[in-house]
Amino acid sequence: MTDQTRTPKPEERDNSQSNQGPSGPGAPVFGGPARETPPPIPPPIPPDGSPPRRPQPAVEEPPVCEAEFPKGFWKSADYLLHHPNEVLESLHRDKGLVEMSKTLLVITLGMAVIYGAVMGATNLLQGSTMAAHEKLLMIVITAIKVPVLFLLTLFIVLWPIYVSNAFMGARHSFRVVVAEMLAAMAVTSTTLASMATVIFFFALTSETYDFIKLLHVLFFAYAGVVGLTSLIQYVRELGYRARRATPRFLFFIWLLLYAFVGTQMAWVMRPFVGSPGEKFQVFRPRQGNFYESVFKSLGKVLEEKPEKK
Amino acid sequence: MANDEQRNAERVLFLPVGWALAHQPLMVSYADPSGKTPRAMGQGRTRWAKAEPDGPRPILQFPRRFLEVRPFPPLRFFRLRSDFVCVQYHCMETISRYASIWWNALVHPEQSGRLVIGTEAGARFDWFILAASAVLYAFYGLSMGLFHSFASGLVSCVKMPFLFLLSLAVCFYPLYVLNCVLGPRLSVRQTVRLLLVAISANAAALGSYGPVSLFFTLTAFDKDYHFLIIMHVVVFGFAGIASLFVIALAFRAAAAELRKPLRPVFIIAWGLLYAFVGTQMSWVLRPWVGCKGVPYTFFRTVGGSFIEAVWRVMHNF
Repeated sequence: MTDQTRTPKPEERDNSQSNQGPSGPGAPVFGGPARETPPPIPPPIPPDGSPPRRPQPAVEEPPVCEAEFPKGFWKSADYLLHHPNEVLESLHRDKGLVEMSKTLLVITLGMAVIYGAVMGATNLLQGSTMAAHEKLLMIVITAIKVPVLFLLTLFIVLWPIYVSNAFMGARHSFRVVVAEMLAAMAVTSTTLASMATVIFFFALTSETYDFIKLLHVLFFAYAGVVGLTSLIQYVRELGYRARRATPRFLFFIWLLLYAFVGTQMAWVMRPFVGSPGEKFQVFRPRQGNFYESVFKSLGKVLEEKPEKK
Repeated sequence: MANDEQRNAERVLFLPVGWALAHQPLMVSYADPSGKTPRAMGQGRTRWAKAEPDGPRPILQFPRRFLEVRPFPPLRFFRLRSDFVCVQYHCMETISRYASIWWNALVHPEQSGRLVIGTEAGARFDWFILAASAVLYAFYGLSMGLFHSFASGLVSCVKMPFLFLLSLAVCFYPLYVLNCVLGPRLSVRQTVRLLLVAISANAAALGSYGPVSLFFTLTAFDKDYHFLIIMHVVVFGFAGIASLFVIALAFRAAAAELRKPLRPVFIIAWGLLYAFVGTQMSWVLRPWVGCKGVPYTFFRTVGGSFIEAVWRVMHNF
């Protein structure tokens, strides 16, 4: 009984017309036609039991050298974006870190100035009640505030990160941790400055201040997430190379710490954009909370639709 | 000097005489590179004055016979008809080659990796894609605006390419940085080409619906304005979703060609950002269809938002 009911193997199946069955010669043959060549032999399983690796491409990647930042602001920013492996190699070898840190600092501050200028230009574009010279002054002040925000956050967050890194993970030297943080900050501010065109467009074309404020918060959060992801990747890769432990939940704590310090610093240093009803001030008196303000804006933006109907 | 003046006068006379003498017959067949014209215009003893008996030159060259004489005004403003024919032939050949490359890239996006990297076509391909997308978008814009009047059709026709291309310009830098951080680290030129291929996929999807939209617009009554708005929004949505598949495969092919990893977050983030900026841009550049009772203006005042307007239109409908 088993001989008659088992499904025929591909090499045993006969493709002549008599064997096609009720479906006829034109119907698809399940399992495919009879093979001419035997199927390929799968790759051998490595002796340590790990799953077989995908075959590597024939082209060998060039050996990774130390980072050499070119002269010029835009060129060095482009280099940072395109060659994270080289930056990682410099961090691993602990060579030329002082020069690299200087370049990264310049990139961070420059990109933050660009985004700050676009932030401050919101008032200019939307036609608020401030005088013309106050609007221009707002642009300059915000363009100074955003890099200062980044620097102060960096100083505050650097020490806990260094200490927690030393206690619980890869014990990098202080110079390496500073360079890592600066690389992450440079990526953060470059990502932030890249959203400047989008913010400029929205400031030009929408009238709701709360919506733009929420966009700013969203873009800062996005840039922060991207920067911290790159920091985590640097730390993890350096830990692998030095064969030291890599902290896991510690990364999450760093993310929370950075978020809290950053938001509180931004609240202390407000206004960045300037509410349409308020008068021009360099710093507002300490009142309320960052999260309270964000939730209020969210409420206003969501409530707009049913009211205007 | 009288002598110089006379010589200058002679040189000036040379131009129309030379132009008349070198005038080529009107009928030159493009498909026949040998330059032989059919004998439809003249029979028997008519001799065609051929400046180039060997056929049109493949590449446009400055005609050497004018180099010996340096007349005033300069002769480069005057060209033989055969020179124009050479340019047209070369242009048409290039355009058809680019069109076939582009269509292959849209139909088989998984094989468009080399195109995006730049090994298959040069920098002129980017301009071709830009022009092709603009033409397709303009056709759809025409079909949108014809509801109100012919003039509004023309205005929408001109505005539509700007909608998509300005959105791309606004989104380009964030997408480039995202590409460096998350996705394959393409250079600026490669990113431009990748994004243009994506835009052209959307243009092809929209342009394919153009005739249907034209039919609906031309056969709609005045009261069907809201129906048309909803139809256009739905069509834009479907075209965007359909092109997203092509775009995802093209991104994947580009990353595979460079043997770099591609995270799916990159494609999702791209889609979200572009959709966000695109909807705002479409609100800013309105009106597109134009209500019949209201006089048509190029732009309306900036206010409100896209989502709120769609909500209101759906309620009216």
